[in-house]
Amino acid sequence: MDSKEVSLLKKALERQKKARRQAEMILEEKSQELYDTSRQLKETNARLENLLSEKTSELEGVFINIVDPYLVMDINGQVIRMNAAAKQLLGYDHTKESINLSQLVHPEFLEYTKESFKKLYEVGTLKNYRAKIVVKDKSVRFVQVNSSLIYDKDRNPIAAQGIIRDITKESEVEALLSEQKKQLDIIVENSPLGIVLTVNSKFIRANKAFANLLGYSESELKEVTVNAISDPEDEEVSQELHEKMIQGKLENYSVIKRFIKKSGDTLTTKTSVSAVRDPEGKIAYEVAIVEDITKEKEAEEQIKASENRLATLISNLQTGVLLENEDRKISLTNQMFCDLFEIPVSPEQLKGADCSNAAEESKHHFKDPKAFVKRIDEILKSRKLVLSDELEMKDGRILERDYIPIFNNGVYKGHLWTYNDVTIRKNYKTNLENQKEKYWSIIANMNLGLIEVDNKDVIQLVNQSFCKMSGYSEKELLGQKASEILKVHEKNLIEEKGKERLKGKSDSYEVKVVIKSGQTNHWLLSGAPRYDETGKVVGSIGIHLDITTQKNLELQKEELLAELEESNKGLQEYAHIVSHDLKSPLRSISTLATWLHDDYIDLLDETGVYNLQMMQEKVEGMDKLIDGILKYSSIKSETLEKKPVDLNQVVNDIREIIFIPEHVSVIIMDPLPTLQADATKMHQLFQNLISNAVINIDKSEGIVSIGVTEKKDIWEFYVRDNGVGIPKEYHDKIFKIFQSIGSEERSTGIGLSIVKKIVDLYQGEIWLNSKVGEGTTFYFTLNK
Amino acid sequence: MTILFIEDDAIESMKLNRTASKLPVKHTIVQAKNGEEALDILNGPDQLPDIIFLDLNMPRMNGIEFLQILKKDPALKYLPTIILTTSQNRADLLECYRTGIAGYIIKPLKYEDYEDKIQKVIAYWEINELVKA
Repeated sequence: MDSKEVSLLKKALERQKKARRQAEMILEEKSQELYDTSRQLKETNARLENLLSEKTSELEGVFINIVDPYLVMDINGQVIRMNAAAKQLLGYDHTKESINLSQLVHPEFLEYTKESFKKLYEVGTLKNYRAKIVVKDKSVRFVQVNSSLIYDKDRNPIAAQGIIRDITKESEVEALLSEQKKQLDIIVENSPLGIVLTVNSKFIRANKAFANLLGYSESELKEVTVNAISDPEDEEVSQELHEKMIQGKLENYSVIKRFIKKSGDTLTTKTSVSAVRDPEGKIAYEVAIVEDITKEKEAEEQIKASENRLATLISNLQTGVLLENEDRKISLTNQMFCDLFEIPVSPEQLKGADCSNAAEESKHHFKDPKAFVKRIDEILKSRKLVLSDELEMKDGRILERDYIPIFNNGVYKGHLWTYNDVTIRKNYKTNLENQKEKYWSIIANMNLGLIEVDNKDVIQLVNQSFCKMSGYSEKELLGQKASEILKVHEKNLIEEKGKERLKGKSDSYEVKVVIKSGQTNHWLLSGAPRYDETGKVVGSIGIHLDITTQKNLELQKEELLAELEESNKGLQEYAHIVSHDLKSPLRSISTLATWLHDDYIDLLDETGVYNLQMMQEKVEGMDKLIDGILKYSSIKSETLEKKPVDLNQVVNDIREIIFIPEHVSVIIMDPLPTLQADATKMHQLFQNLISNAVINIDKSEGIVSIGVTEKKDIWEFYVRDNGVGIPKEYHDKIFKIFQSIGSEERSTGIGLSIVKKIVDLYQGEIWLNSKVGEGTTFYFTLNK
Repeated sequence: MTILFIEDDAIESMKLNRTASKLPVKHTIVQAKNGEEALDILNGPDQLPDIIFLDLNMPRMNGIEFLQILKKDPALKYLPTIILTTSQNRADLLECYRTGIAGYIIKPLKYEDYEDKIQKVIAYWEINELVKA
């Protein structure tokens, strides 16, 4: 270390020593000052303390006399002083124990209390601090505190004083009130009735129900007036009532009022309005309770409608109705009742009439008036339900009467009489029974066999005739299956008919049955379904007629007819063959005679030629005879045709075919009809008659006239000539075959037989009028 | 013209021959006494006739039976067959027309009438075109 350095260090050290001395001096100075101050402070304190104690005693004098609980606490909440009331309230005594108010505060109010204290310190006062506290006996009290800070002389807060009011009771009331209000709100809000509060037609409040009813929200309602949403039609009535309420004549009213919903629909309500008045009696509010009665209204209308229906029903009932009340006055009756008893007034007019003497007054209607009155008295006395009493009226009608007493909760309220005219029903029943009896005796005694079977074909009933027919006794038949005991040849037919019977079909048919004796008989069977009262088919009824004899005859007849037909056919054939066999040799003879004449004319003398001529004529006659027989035998009903035949045409044709000499004229006198007949036969008929007439003309001028007269069901024709006439004794003979009375060689005597046969065929008649030398008229009839 | 004449009666044959002989044009008349004989001829080697005259009433096979057989034959059914009969039986007439005939002549009583009818029939067939075999 060099000296320089040392000197430097020495200097520094010197400087430090100097600085410390200086600091020690300053410290000494300051200490002196501090001491002075502290002494002064001590003095001031002492003075202040004096002052305080003075002030305290002053205040104590004031507060001691405060009735309300009063206390002073330091800034930590420790109670410094409290009066008797406070002691009583809190249950504590600060002179005996230490009390910190903060510990009394109910936990719920801690936060509020902290804030309130803070406010107190900042502002210096605290008003209306309300809190729950727990007092010594653990009960909870509600208190209200007004407090202010207490400062020392330096304006530092040193304590706080407060006046406590016990508001427990007050709070409870308040809580109760708010609870009640809440409940009221709930009631109002949840009421199904619309509740509104209005002032001067403005909605102050409306509950949910009202808003819902109208479709407006609560806020929207505040924008409209009552009138704006009311149906204008109701305005007059509402206005009038409202007016009265304003005038104080009315405290409340109830009307059926219609509102217009937001949707535009109408809402029908029952609205009750009450006035809430202020102390001066003016209306402060109007409270309205609105009830939706749309449905009620509808229901009411429905009830009205059904009442109307019921009334109409009763008035038109085919039963006479009389409803009497407990005083025997008529409550209700109908037209039918008036008609039944010939009461000349309307049912309306009868309403209210006294019935106590009705029985006596109307007994003359009945066959047994005494019994009628007696019975009524009986019924009225017993007041018990009586049904279907039968009453015989003097005029023959039969009425059925019901009596129905009416009780309401056990109290007799009147009674109902009903009368039905059952004359027809009654008579019908009697008739039915009579008829049944009558028919049953017919059935039992008739010659027809009757059998009834059920749906299973089991025999239910037979009559005597059926037993006789079948050979079985009733005992043997009943309960048996009909198809088993009675052996019917046509089994399938019976089954088929049985099915049809179930369908309700009835008809007749023939069966062959083997009866008990083993003999086969023919029965004609008429079957019909059997019905029960409900119209259901429960079986069938068969009526049987034994037609064995008739059937056998019929079969015989059929056989005979077939035989006859066969033999007729044979005969017809035979006639043809015979005629051919006869005609062929005639042709040969005729031919040979011709040839003899032609080839040997030179060798023949006059007699020979004449004889050959005679031979030819005889052969010709024979040929005609054969033709006639053939024609006669071929007139048969089965070959007849049925076509319209114009007889004028027929006669005209004949005029052209047959030989009519110059001096004879054939005249149609009346237009002849057109008949439904066989043309050939008509032709034969007229040709034979006409040619017959022509041949018999012996006068120089011959007239054959043909005419007709129309009768009811027939045509009467005639063919008249002015010829030789027919002697009376021949009139019957001439229609018989081969009976010729004509002198003419050409007559075969078969023509009129053919005529008769044709007329017979058409179920006509033929006869004649004749006078020898004057002429003959043939009459014949043909059916129309 | 060749005529097959089916007839059992000798005088009828004479009548036809006499009638035919009077005609200016000569015709061949082949005679059969009944249906069977006629079929034999038709089925034989000779040429078929141009027309047939058929009587209905014959012993053994009668005229209608013959006609039915004829009309069933595929070749013979073309032969025109004229009925010559005394039968006015309508049933016969209808049956013949149904089976197939070319004429139905009733034999008249008088020979002159017969001659007249036959001449007309022959004259009619002479002017017809015939089915030549």
